[in-house]
Amino acid sequence: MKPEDLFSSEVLLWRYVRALACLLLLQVVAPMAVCNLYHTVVAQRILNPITVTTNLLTSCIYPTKLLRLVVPAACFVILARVHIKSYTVSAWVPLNRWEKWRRVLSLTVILRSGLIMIACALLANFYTSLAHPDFPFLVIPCTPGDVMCYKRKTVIIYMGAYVGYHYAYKYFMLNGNLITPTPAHPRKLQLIKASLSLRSTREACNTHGANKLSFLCAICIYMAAAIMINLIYDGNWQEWLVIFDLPLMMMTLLATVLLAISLSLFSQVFHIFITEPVEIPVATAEDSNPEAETDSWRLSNALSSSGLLQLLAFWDLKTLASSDPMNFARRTQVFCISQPGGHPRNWMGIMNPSMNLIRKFCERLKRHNCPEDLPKPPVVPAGAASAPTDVNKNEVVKPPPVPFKERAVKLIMSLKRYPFFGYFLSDLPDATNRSIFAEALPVIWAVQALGDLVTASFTEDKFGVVQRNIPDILMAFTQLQKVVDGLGRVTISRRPGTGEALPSELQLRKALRFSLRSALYTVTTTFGDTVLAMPVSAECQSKLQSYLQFKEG
Amino acid sequence: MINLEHLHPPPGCGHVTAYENDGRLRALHVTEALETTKKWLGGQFIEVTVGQEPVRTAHSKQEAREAFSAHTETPWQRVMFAYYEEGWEASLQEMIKGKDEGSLYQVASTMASVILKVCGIIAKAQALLPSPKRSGSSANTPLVLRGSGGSIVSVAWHPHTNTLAAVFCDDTVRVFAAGRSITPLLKHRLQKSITHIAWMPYSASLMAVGCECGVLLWTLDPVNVVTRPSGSCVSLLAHPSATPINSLTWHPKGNLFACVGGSNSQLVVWDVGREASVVVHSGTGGNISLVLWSPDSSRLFVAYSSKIMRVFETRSWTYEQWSLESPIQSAVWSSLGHLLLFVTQDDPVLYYLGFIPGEGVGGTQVAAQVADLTQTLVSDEDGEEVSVGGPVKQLAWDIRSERLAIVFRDTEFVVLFHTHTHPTLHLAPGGEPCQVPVSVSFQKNLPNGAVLSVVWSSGQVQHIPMRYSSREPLPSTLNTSTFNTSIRTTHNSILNCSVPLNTSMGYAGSPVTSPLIGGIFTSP
Repeated sequence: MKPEDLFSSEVLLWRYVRALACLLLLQVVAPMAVCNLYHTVVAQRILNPITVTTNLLTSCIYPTKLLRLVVPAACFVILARVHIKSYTVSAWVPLNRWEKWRRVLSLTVILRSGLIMIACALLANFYTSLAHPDFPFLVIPCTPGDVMCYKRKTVIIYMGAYVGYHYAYKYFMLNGNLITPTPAHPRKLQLIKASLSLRSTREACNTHGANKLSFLCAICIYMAAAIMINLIYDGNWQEWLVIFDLPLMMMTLLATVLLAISLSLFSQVFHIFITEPVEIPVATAEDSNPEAETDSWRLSNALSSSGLLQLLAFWDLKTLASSDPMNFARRTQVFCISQPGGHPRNWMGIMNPSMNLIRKFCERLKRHNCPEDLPKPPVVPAGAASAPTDVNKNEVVKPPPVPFKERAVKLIMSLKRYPFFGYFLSDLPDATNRSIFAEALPVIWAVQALGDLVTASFTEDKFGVVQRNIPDILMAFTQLQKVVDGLGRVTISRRPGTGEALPSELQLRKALRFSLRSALYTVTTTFGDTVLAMPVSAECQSKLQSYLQFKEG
Repeated sequence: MINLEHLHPPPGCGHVTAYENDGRLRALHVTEALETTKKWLGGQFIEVTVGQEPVRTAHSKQEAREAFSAHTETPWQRVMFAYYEEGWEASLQEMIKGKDEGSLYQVASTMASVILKVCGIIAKAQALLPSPKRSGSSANTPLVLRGSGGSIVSVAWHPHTNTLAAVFCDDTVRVFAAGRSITPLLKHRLQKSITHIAWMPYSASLMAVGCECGVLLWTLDPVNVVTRPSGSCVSLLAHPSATPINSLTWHPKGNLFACVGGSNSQLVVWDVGREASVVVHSGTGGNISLVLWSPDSSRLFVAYSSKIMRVFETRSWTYEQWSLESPIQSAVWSSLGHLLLFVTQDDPVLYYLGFIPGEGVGGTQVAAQVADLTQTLVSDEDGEEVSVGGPVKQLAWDIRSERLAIVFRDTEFVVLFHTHTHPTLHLAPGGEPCQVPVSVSFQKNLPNGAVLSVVWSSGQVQHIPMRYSSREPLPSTLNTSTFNTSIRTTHNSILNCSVPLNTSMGYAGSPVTSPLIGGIFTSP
């Protein structure tokens, strides 16, 4: 079984289930209590605390309300499904404006945004129907004489859908679906507690469209649409002004705030459960017989995989490599050799995928920024290959057919000259580099882990399994640093104290420079002048010299 | 248990402590002492000077305004301005100041004075209540206020190079490096009320400055010749749960740092590269005054302003808690991270807590007393009686855990102990009247011996070289496989001050104190 499949079936599936269970507990029980309290105190005007408490308890087990629980449960299942299908581990960076539009108009995004909006509209209706008797549940028909009933329903559903749209736009277009592990991993309860704080809920309201301006804007749009529809169908548009009544406003506010908090909490709790660190064994029992099973649940296989598993595997590797004495036993496994044979399988299983990742990343950067530095591919002599010949064995001079892809690229290039197409098709500034750096997180952790493992080998590597590869590692580090430093400084700068955050890909670029420097300093500080005796290139040696003298800033 | 009577007599008047040799502190005349220090340290000597420009303390800015403002506004305007600038309390104060301005104003003035008196009474009543937010916060005050009027209030050595950062009383930081004439001046509009500075480990250039608005990260290119790094060299890491900063500590590998601040008890960990933060603990206990990451990175010590302290293990961030009789004043980890020395605000006693490697925190149940630092009178070499000891202000332990310096709050002597954590603890002290030590810091990059930098109340920084042969292994050369992981302890234990020393056994060792030859430790 492949490590990805094992991870999905044995780890990820349970994480989804636990996240959903936690969310249902948090988000159905708590808002139900709030809405019931509102119903008892404001709508029914009961102020006796004992009656309020008993009402709260009895209302929870009331059959109709229990039936209504199916609605939020279904909404959360829909939301969970969308989140499970849409999360990503590297930020999306559009190369041009056309890509942005293509994403906005793509069927998947529209469908998923629609699902989010429907779930939000249903949730908003559910919350209000709990809180106030005048706001009926969606499936309950309005009485014929009640003019406000229909309008209240539509306003609430519209506002729910509006908040859902806000969330979906942020989620799909502004990298709201990006999942990255936190710098430290305390217990999940602590993280959930932190995301429930007053400050985070207020932030959630502001970001997910439950703030004052957004609220006003949505109401105005709604009013304009309603009046337009009435004018078209010759209705009495003035009757729509009656929606400006206090209970409706209060309930709309309550519903949007609860919805914004629910969505924010949903995304945070999902994030907390998904990014929980996983401990992957360095070596298994099968290692003694490597031919028995090649694909298994091992760190080396996980490191070579992709997506979330690779990210979590590199996080695990980074934790393993850190100087914490609690990881000593696991680190010992990395430095041990196989019996019999004496091969450093575990170390090679870790080093190879990490180095491949670093080298590939470096190559991608070089290909885009300094293609002349790349090693040239071997030139095939013209006559060496079997040239096309006619029946008389004379070479036929016939231009090879141009593949469709190349033709399409040429066509796009020619279209770029026109201003209209140029607007959509021209590259956004630094977009390629940014898209490369968006995938830098595993590279950063690979650099940190290799640096720490090399440092740890100074005292812990009894068999010297690491020392053969130290020059390669140092050369890869210095080369990558040269390429990253060669790109110049981050173009978008910000003033400290303004509260602006850099886009994640630019932050990762800074983080990569930072971790490369830190890893090189760790190695040079531990090994001292010994690093100069290693067989490395002259360029790398001069770099190491300046690291030894602490002259690299 | 050792006490301060075991000290050798301090030097007489006109002598200062110059160096340590053969396990004894030597005192010389002022000029000779400086010369000797320069000779000993050679090219590594760093002279920390203030320079030509006057250094004005950051906390006297408000007074200048009164000298220049022309009082041409009406009293009502003054009240309004006071409200805009400093809030409603200041506007009420301003209202009381005005005299003979009409009957309406008099009525308003009387009402203002009544409101202020009521507020004062409420504040006094609040102060009587046992609120953790209000109790003992001397560790949280900015460094400037903790200083005693000198221009330099604190110094911090770079962990790997011969570079020293000095905090000045005007909330600026100057960086002094051996052999470099350029001393970069770090000044920023957000850099106010500095509480802590710390160099990042395994980096040549990064320094964290904890201040009112959060943590300012300065990136100083070591080969750059700019004397005034610009605002582009700074980035601000501010978490709303940890501002203003009370304390910060770097992870020994440097990629993370933990910070605490404000009046809440949230512990925030930052990934410096990604500029991402996470609250790893938010519980009760009052505001946090001090955080310290252990040198082996497995534990984090957290001191609260209430009478508790916690040690977290840094894997899943669970903790063990100890109750104290008084809030923590200062604490230091040993170089291997298995021993914690601490002092409380009121008791003049040095305590130690041992930790056993393995899963969890693994702290010993009780803290043991290792030194009695009660204030005592000792005779100096001239026969005059001087006072030593009392409540402690700061502890500093050198990188090998062989020299421990203690600064006192009320007396004017720095006490120096020779310490050996495997298995015994030695002590040897000193000090001098006239000038008060403000803070001390050990140089961290020396292959052998130690250099202690003392900031005196006059603003001078004195380096005291110490020559000794090391008996302790450096943290980097420790083989972790020698750790004994079989011993566990329970948590939530109560600190018991009267436990005999040898009760806690195991890897942590039992620091047996023994009096050593007393040395004298004097200011220039």
